[in-house]
Amino acid sequence: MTKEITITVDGRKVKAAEGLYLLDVLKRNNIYVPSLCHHDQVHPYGVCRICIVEMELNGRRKVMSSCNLKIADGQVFHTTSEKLTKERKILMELMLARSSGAKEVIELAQRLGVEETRFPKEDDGCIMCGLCVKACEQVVGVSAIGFESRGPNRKVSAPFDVEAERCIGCGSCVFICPTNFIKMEDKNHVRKIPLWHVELKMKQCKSCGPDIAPEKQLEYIRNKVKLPENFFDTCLNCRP
Amino acid sequence: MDLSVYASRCVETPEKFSQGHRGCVGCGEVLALRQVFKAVGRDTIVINATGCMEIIASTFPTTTWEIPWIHTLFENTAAVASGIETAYKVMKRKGIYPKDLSVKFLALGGDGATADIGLQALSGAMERGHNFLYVCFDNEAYMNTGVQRSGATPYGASTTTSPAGKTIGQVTWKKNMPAIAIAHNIPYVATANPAYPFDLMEKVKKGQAVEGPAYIHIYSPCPTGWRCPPDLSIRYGRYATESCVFPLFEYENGKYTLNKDIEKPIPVSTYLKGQGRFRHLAEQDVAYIQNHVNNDWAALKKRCQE
Repeated sequence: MTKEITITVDGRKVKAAEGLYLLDVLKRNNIYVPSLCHHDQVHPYGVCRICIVEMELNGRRKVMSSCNLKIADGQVFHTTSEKLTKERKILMELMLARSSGAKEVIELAQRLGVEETRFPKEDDGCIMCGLCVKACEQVVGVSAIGFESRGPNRKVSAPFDVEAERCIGCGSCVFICPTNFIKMEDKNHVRKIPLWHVELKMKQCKSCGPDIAPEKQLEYIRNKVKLPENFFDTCLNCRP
Repeated sequence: MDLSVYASRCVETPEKFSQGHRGCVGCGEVLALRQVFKAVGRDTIVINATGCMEIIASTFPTTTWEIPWIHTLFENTAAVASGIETAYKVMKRKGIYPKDLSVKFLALGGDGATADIGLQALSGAMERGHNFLYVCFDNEAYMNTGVQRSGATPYGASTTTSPAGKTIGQVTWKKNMPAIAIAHNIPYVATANPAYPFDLMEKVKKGQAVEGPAYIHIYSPCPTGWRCPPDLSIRYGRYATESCVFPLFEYENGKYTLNKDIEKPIPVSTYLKGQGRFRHLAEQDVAYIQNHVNNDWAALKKRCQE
């Protein structure tokens, strides 16, 4: 059993297990803190900075991101204050300037009271949350994609922006992307993910015909769990 | 789109319908419910009709529900949902609730509570245009009380109140609940199946996002009532869709979309075979059902192409 500790959030006592991240505890207790780059399945990255809270430290208040902050007994947090609102609004304006077309960003901006941005608008769609890169590394374990360049030129891409060699076409990046920036298409027995320049041949069921999954993915799974060679020759329905 | 192994690990892990409930082994309905809860946020009020999900999950003094939950009778689920939704609106107007909070309302009911007993209240709520999502878990009979026939029981199924023998079992066709919902001209209607989890979650998200009533009909394999092996409930779910007995489609603002186009439907006999409730069917009965399914499928395809 982990030790149970008590923290104070907005004057309310909250009990939680030691070693949890603050944002998870807040979510469980229905205390709303906006977040964009957070996901249960990958390690916290703390890049969107929207989830900032104030922590009381030696009589001062310090602004910190809550997604990668491990809680300890007796800490005192504030999730709403004038300073936080102001900082979140500026962050949201910057994010709106980068991805003015992304539905999720616009929705969150409206919820935080930002209607218009004062910076020049671009429509990128990617908010640089890095979830696709993290999922590829930590959930799938192939690290087929990564970040490219630095500063304002930073973007997610396959290595050298050519075909991602190690991509197995599992679609985790497509599913985890919060703004639907990464697209995937299955057509004519080929799976395409244009952003990573990937085209993978699909394997068909030998007895009934339809596509099962990309050949490369099945090979990867087969090697990983040491299945017999002909295991993926047939689809789920035809397998005994 | 088949996302199989890895993408499914990226679904959020905290359960809102936690472990320790008393569902049967291989229950497709619990699985569907968990998938529904993966797609909804924590700011959701669940209005739950009497039925399997209420009985197995709320035995006093324990509870499985980790989000606000209210139990209602069979007949008034939608009525209670519309009441709560209206009360919430009023409290927001009066300033009791913060203005920026958006609470969603999720009404759950079985096929009996939806298609038979609660149809009147559901029809009323849809007609009045309350902003809520109604999810029907269709396991094709009153399973909780011991497999009695309901309006959603398919033709030929043997239940305790429509036993096979002198008649074929259930002598009428399944009530077309999605069509009834569509007839109310509501913004969103869909059918889903726990054998296709990503499709299901996507539909629940869409249904919650629309303004106004939304209806999702979820096919829930029930090994106990269907008398099939519990480890095959998902397989039967898949068979149902692939044999076009239960096609997956959605109806959005007057437009039909087919989510899972079956190029070569598998024969209905594959689906019927192995289920104890259909074991008495003779070859000509199966052919009769196949003919009916083919006609329905052709009609749906035509509607989707319009």
